[in-house]
Amino acid sequence: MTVLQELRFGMRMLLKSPSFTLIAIATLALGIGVNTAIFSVVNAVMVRPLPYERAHELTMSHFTNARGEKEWQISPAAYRELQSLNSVFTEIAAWGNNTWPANLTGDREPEKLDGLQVSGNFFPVLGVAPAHGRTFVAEEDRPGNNHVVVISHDLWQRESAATRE
Amino acid sequence: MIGRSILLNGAPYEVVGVMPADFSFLLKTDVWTTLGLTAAAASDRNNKYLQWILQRDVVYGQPANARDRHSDGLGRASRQRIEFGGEAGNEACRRRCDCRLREIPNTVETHSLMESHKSKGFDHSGIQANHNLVFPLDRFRELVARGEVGELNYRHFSFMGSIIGPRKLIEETALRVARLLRDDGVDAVFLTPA
Repeated sequence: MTVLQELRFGMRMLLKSPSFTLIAIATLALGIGVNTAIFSVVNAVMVRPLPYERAHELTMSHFTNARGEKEWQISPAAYRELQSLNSVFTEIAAWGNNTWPANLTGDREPEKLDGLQVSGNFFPVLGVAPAHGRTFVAEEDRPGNNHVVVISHDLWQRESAATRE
Repeated sequence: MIGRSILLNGAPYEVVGVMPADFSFLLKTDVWTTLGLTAAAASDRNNKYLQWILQRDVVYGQPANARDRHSDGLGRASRQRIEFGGEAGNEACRRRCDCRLREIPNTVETHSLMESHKSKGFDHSGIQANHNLVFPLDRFRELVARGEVGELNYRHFSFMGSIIGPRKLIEETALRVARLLRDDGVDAVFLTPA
């Protein structure tokens, strides 16, 4: 019996018991789908390195309060103290826990943007360079000098298209 | 687009950079600005709204296409910091300490070197004013010129400070340097602490 004959025989047997075939296919599909989904998450979160240069040098830390709970957020005063007392790490970068609602207006259709307020050293700490222009300099993290933005590639494309129109 | 002003919440903001298409950080973000904490906000102890991340060895104002960390992006003269690529410490060691060694060629100009140890635990002003305080290459060149030292090796080595887990440094990096110096035929080694 050739392989082709084996396959034909197998197909005929499956067609002979359609309910069994359907259950088998559904079980296989579900198993493969769930495994693929779990692997995708595990790969993204635990296996694949962060898409930043020198990601192995990045560390997120937390305080433990009197109740033994982890506190990932800190006050600005605590952040400043961490910076001044730090003698182990070169830099400590911070970002606002809440998004910065930024409404883009001007000679265009108004648009609600998702913004993030970050410390001046945020991008260098991540080790990412911009595609165009530069990231922030230290002086721009001071009140009065902080009306500067770095924009996403998507917004740049939207703005470029809007400008052309 | 760069250098253009856009209106955000009714106020003008200058666009200084555009991130790459594949860049993302936690949430979808269209625009980043600085915290710009005022003195009052910076002394706020009650509102905990900052998240933080730690890293060592960074430079401000990284310009586009400047993944080469020899440039600091502030328009200052490019600084040389030579790392000993393939000989760097392993991953586990790097997490606890930077036990890599840097090879510095003897032909280097000392003013072009960069102090990459950014610890705030001691005063760096002397080192920044004169690198010979921790890397006295110019002094040794003077000794060679006066005939008090025969010649200098064609390369020198430096290490990171504040190493909290020195085992790898002692057991691997130091031995490696010793072998390299032996292979170079070095007669004497001058060690300088930072």
